[in-house]
Amino acid sequence: MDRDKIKKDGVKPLLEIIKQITDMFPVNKRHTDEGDLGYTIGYLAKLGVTAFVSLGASADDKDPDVVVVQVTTPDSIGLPAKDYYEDTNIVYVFLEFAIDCYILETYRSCRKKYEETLVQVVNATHPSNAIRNIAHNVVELEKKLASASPDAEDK
Amino acid sequence: MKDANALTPQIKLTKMIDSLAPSDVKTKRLIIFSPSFMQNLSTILDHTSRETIQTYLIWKVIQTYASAVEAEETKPYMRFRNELQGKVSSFLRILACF
Repeated sequence: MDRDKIKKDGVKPLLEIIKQITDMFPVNKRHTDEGDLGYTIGYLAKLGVTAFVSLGASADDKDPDVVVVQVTTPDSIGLPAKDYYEDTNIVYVFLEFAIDCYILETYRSCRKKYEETLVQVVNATHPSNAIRNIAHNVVELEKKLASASPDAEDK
Repeated sequence: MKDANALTPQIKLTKMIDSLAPSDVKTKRLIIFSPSFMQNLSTILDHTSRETIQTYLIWKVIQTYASAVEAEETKPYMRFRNELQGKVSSFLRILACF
């Protein structure tokens, strides 16, 4: 890969994809049941980006004219694991295991930093006056997705 | 297919397949590993604004491509990720002592 070209292109390739997303899934549209979200998810899956669900497409072993699409829960919602989205009582856990207290405190401050990072990077690539509010909503959304996802052992 | 669409109407799984599979393929089969997750997803999406969904999609692109580009804009995310890797490996090291 040409390092100089990558450097020269800077953030441009990323901005192009972001533009595609905002075209495919505009905010100022009334209904979400038109399938534009589904189409955008499929488009992103082709680019290797997992959004809401993990998709895989392969030829049917019995009939090559048939394509089988598998829909599964994503391995990673955003932060490394489900646990990072938990809201737990730190005092209780501190009484039980000192080591867990360290970890849980890390999860909470981690989420805070994660949200801050989201604000910085999204605002730099797709600026918005409401970015802080939206960033918070995105992390809250991820919390709900994590909650709805099966635990690693149950997969 | 209609049943699949009904699981998560906000996503319309058939549209997703149209986007994903080559257009010249006539027949497509869909395997959903967790229909209950798809229903939960529907409830979640019902309570999420389009603006939040759009920003979530943008964020996923950033997370996926941040390591493939060299730009000031994405550096904060790379820093966050490296820091997190460090913390995860410290936890594993501490755990290994017990």
